[in-house]
Amino acid sequence: MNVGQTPGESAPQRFLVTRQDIAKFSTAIGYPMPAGARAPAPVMFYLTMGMARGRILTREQLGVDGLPAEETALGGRFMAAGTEVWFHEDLAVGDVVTVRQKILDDTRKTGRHGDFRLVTVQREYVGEDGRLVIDERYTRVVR
Amino acid sequence: MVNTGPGSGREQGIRQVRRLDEVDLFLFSAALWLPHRIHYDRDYTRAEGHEDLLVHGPLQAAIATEMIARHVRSSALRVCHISYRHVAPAFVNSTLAFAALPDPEGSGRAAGSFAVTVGDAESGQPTTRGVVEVGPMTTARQARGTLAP
Repeated sequence: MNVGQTPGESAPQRFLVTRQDIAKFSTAIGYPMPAGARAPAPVMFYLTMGMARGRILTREQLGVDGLPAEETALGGRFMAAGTEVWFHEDLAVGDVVTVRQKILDDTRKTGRHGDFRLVTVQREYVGEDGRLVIDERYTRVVR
Repeated sequence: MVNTGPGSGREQGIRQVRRLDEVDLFLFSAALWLPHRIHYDRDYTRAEGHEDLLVHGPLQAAIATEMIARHVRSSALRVCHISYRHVAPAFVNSTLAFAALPDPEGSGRAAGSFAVTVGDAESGQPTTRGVVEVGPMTTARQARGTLAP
């Protein structure tokens, strides 16, 4: 884990996919834990490595909204806007994945409820052999 | 979580209905180590201008995607591409209808495509729309094991 990384910088985070993490995610989305020692994780299990980028921040590093203070400091309220993901391979217990993130786009817009920003990040999930496993674009609204 | 169970059929597509409560929102936030307050602090969330606690957009997408993945698995297919837009807020304790309809006009690259809609079952207001494409499983993938239905 890299504590205190600036959003948008692509400091790689390395993860081991564990049975416990898959069990937690499966339960959270209301599906049974996959059976079999090397059974694939639920399709969107990658979120557990991407959404918070696996970072365990100190309490002081979290803003009043619960998000990293460095993001909150950019101003506004955050909501998920959309996502597009290509799944080249499935993830399973024992996989080691490196996640790289960078900001692809940060655009100001005007809508019915006033001005807002659309921030799109790209996250690449790469296996130990260097192959791209998952390619994600995730967009948030910042008002 | 109230789950009426998956329905299926070529004409009707794949459907299920769920009512996601505070515990569901907590479990998803915990699984992601996501402390965003709009998913558990009602007073704070209302102060931000929302009607009530918000159901995570990615939770809606994850449920819909997994519903499709488990449906197509018996045909040796896997999800290879997803695209979702969260078009309106979904609030805690609302009953959400998940529907995935086969789309014959879908991408030619994939073996199949589903048009996905998640929405409030009572008002009919869509909250998330998307497209999920499926393709053949790899040999390595098939050798990995089985999943509970």
